[in-house]
Amino acid sequence: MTKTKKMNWKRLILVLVLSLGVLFLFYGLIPRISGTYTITVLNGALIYYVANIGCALMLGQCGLVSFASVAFMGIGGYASALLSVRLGLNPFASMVLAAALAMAAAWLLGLALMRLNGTFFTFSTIALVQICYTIFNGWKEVTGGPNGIPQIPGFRLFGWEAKTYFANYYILITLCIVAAAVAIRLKKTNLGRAMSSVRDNELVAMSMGVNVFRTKVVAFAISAAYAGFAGAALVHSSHYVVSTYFTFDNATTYIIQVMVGGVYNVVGVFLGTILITMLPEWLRPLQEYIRLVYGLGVILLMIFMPMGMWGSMSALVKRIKRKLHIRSKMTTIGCGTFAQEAETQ
Amino acid sequence: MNPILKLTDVNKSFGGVVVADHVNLSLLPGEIHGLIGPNGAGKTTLLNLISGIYEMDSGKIEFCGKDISKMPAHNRARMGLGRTFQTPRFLDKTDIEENLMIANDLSHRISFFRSFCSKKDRSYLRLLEELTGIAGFTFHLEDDISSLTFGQRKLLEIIRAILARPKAILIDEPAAGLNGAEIQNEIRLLQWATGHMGVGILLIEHSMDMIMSVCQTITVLNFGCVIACGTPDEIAGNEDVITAYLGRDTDAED
Repeated sequence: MTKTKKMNWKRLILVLVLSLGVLFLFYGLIPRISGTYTITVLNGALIYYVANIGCALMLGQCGLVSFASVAFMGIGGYASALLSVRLGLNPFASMVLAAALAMAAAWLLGLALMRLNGTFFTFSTIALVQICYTIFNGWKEVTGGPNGIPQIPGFRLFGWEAKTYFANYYILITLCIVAAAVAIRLKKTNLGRAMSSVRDNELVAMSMGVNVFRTKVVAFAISAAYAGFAGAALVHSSHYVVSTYFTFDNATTYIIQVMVGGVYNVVGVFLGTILITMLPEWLRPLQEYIRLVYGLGVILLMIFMPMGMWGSMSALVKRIKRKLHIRSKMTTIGCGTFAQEAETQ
Repeated sequence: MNPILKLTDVNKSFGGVVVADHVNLSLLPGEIHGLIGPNGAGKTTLLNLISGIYEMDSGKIEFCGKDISKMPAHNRARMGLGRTFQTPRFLDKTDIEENLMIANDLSHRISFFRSFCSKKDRSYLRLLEELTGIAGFTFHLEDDISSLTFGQRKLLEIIRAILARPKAILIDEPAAGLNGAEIQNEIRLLQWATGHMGVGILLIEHSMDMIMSVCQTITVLNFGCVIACGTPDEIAGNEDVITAYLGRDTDAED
C-alpha cells in the first residue's frame, strides 16, 4: 500500500510540474517571443487544432477516415455567425450552440453514412464536403454566398472584448487546452474503449457488448462537435466568414496535419497541426518550389513515420526503455498482489 | 433445471450448402457441453449463429428464457452470452489493460457520464488475479497483447470472457496450440467458471481427451445435423459417431 501511495505522489508532482511548464510555455513564453504576424498564423493553427482533435478521434480512436470535419466547421461557423449577428448572442453562447448544431447534424447524417463500409464511408464524406460547400456558396440569403458574412463580433466576456490578435490567442489557447483535456479523458472512458474495439476488431466489439453502429455514429457526432466549435471560433476570431474557408482543399490539409502528427495522441496532433501550418511560412524563401518540397516532405514522413511524429517518438522511447530494462510503474497480474490487497481491506 | 440456452430447429445455409439442419441443443447452467464433429461439420457456424454474428434462416434460440433469435449480437453479449474465438482476437493497438477493461465495462454497464467523471475502476483486479492464478501465468497490465505467447493469449481470452460475468460462454477450440500444462490450467479455469459462477459452457474441441474428461454432455454434429447427443460414455459407444469420424468399412458389408 505504502509503495503505491509513494508512486502516486511522485506521479502527482510530475504531472504538476509538466502542466505548469506547459502553461508557462503557452501563456508566458510564446506570446512574449512572437510578433503579431506569427501570432496570427498561430491563431489559425490553434483553430484547426480543435477540429483536428475531433478528426483524430475518428481516425485514431475509431478507425474511420473522414474528410467531413471541414463541412461541420462550416455548419458551426455559419450557425455561430448568424446567431451572433442576427440574434445578438454572446459569441461564447453561440459557439456552444453551433457545436451542438453540428453534432446534431452529424448524428442524423451518421445514421445514414455509417451504413457504408470503410472506403465507401470516406467517399461519402468527400461528397458531404462538396454538398456543404455548394450550399454555403449558393444560399445567398443566409450565408451571403461568395461575399460571406462580415462584421461578426469577436470574443467578449463580461464587458471585456478581445480586440487584438494577442487577446484572441489567449482565448484560443484556453479553448484548445480544454478541448484536448476532454479528448484525453474521453479515451479513458467506456466510450473510448468501445471506439478502440470498433477500430481494432469489430467481432470482439460485438462479443463484448459494444453496439458497433451506434459507437461509430457517436464518434462521428463528437468529432463534428469539435469541428463545429472550431468553425465557430474561426469566424469570431477573423470577424468574417466566407464559403472558401470550407473547401475540399482545406479538408485534405487537415487530414495531412493529423496524420503527420500522429493519430493516437493529442500532443501528436498538435505537433502536426503546428508543423503543417508553419511549414509554408518557414519555406517561404523557396518561393514556387514550396509545394514540391512540402509534398515530398509529407510523402517521406508517411513512409518513414507511418504512425506520425508522435507515434515514432513513443515507439523510440519504448524501445530505449526495453533496452535499459526500465519498467516503471508496471502492474503485474498473477503474483497474488491484488488478492492480498483485497483481503486486508 | 431449466436450460440457460436452448436451440430449437435452427437452420442455416450458405447458398446450397446446408451448415445447420434442424439443430436442437440445450445448455444447462453450470454444465460444460461439448460440441464435436469432423471438420466442416458446422460447429463454428453454430456458435456464430448463437452469438448473433450470422443470422439464421429459421428456428428459435432462447437465452435465459428469452427469445433472442432476432436480437443483434451486442445485445446478446449484454444479456450475458460470452464468446471466445478459434484464433484469439484482441485489440492489437492498445495494451492488455484496455482489453480487459472492455470486459469490465460489459459487466458493470455504467453511463458514459459516470464513466467520464469517475476514477479508473480497479475492482475487477481481484477477480482477474484469481483467474490468472488458475491460468498459471503472469503479465503486466501495461504491456501489449503481442508480449504474450499464443497459448497465454488463448487463456487470456477465456479470462476476458469470464471477467464480463457471463451466464454462458461459447468457446471455440480452446486447446488448439496449447501445451499439456496450459491445457490442464485451461480445464481448471473452465471448471472454476462453472463451479463458482454457474456459467454454462458450450465447448468446441478436437482434443478427445479434453472433451471426454471435462464435458457432462456431448453433442455431435455432421454436415450441419445433430447425429448424437448424450454423456461421454454414450457418445464413445455410438455407432453413427464412429462412422462419421472414421468412415464406414464398405467391404465388411458385402
